Amino acid sequence: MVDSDLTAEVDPTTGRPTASAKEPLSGWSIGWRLGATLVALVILTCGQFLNTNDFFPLGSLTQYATAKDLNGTVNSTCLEAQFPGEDEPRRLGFNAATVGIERGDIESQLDRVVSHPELLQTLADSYERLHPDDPKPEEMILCRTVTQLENGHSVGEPTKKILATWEVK
Amino acid sequence: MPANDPKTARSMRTKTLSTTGAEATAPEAGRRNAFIRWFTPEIPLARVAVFRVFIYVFIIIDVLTISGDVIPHGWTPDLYQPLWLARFLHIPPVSVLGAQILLAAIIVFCLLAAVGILQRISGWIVTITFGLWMFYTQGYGYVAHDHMALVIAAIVLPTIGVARFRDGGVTSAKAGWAFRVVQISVVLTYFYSVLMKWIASGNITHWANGAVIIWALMRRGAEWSKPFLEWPGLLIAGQWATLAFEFLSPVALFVKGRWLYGVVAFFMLFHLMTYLALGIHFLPTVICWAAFLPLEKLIPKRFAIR
Repeated sequence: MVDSDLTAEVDPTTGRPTASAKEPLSGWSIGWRLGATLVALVILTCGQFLNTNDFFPLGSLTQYATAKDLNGTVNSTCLEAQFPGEDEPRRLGFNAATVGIERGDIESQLDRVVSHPELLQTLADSYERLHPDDPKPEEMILCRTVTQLENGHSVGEPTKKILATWEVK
Repeated sequence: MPANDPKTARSMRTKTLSTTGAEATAPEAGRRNAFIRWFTPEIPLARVAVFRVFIYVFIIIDVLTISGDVIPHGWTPDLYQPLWLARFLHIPPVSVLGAQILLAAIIVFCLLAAVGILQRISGWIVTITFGLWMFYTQGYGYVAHDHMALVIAAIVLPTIGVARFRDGGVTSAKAGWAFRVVQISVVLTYFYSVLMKWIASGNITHWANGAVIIWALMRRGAEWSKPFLEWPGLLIAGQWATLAFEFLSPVALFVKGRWLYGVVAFFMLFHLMTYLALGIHFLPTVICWAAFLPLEKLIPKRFAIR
């Protein structure tokens, strides 16, 4: 902290330091503040070791925490929709403005969505409500693009894998 | 020097003699007092008034942009994955209307709290409404870690009580605690992320020698940053550097003056770089770095003194 700056504050009228009035804390005030801070620290620390986000705002700080293999693959989840009268499915923006939810949200519950593809109906409904002037999609396709790495360099074109499909009702 | 005064010198000797029985515990008590002074430092209330403007104005920006997905979440109730506290409090999925009402309440009470009207009430209402908003932005799968310090700031700021811009001459230990807690939250956002990398990767060198930045650049990199994919070695060096300064981030809690400004400027540059390269701005944490600075200096002198 730059508390020393405080003493440098000088009243222009008297030329004396002005940091005179203090509001000290009672024992109880210090006690509960210390206790609350300790409890929060314990929860936050447990959040890390249990690797859970469930205790938000004191969950694990997992963003970009998982090691990635230089010879592994880079996966990215994608979303496509088949519209009436179109030959091929069209790639949709995987974000809240397009389908009501962000890519990261679906990736965080990917197993659930893949085993319950009916959840893609919700995305179709959102798309319809957020784009009332556009045609309604006939089919929703949850997909994944996979890029192979070799020594950290991408090799070849990304491949696409279908994870789940849903006939829109 | 006080010891030059014979009366004071006598008094000091007397004190020394009379406390011989407590000699073993005195250093311990001194250390404890030093810790309490560090934990609840006296800081000017004017600093609180300025920090409140930063935080509450930023919360308005946050709910309208960064965490602006709560209203669209009203369309996807089936994808609600409530967090522990939301389950404990039986908070249902958000509706579109509910989200709009919440948004209006956050904006109104943030403005009141930023200006300093009904300070305690408006502050606590922001804590509750912004907390709910957070459950609704984070409770649909992905939990963003950049909001920890901001949420903590919204919780602790109302505990300070009344603070005005002209309170440059009044210091408060309540304010000192609240700021210290925000500072600790900021620092732990980085420091514990190193711990998490260690836990999630099993071996920290696997993370540092791995392809995390390559992975991030491929998934969400800006066009100008894609050529860096040709130099994986450089990106690995970047990962080691990231680990090093995240591990050293607690230094910010103990340095002062120019060194502190240097640390804050360094982290600002880091976030600017990750924003330009990857679109990851971390602004909710960035704004909380303000808790390390003597913000009262921003107040024009004619308003500053009480």
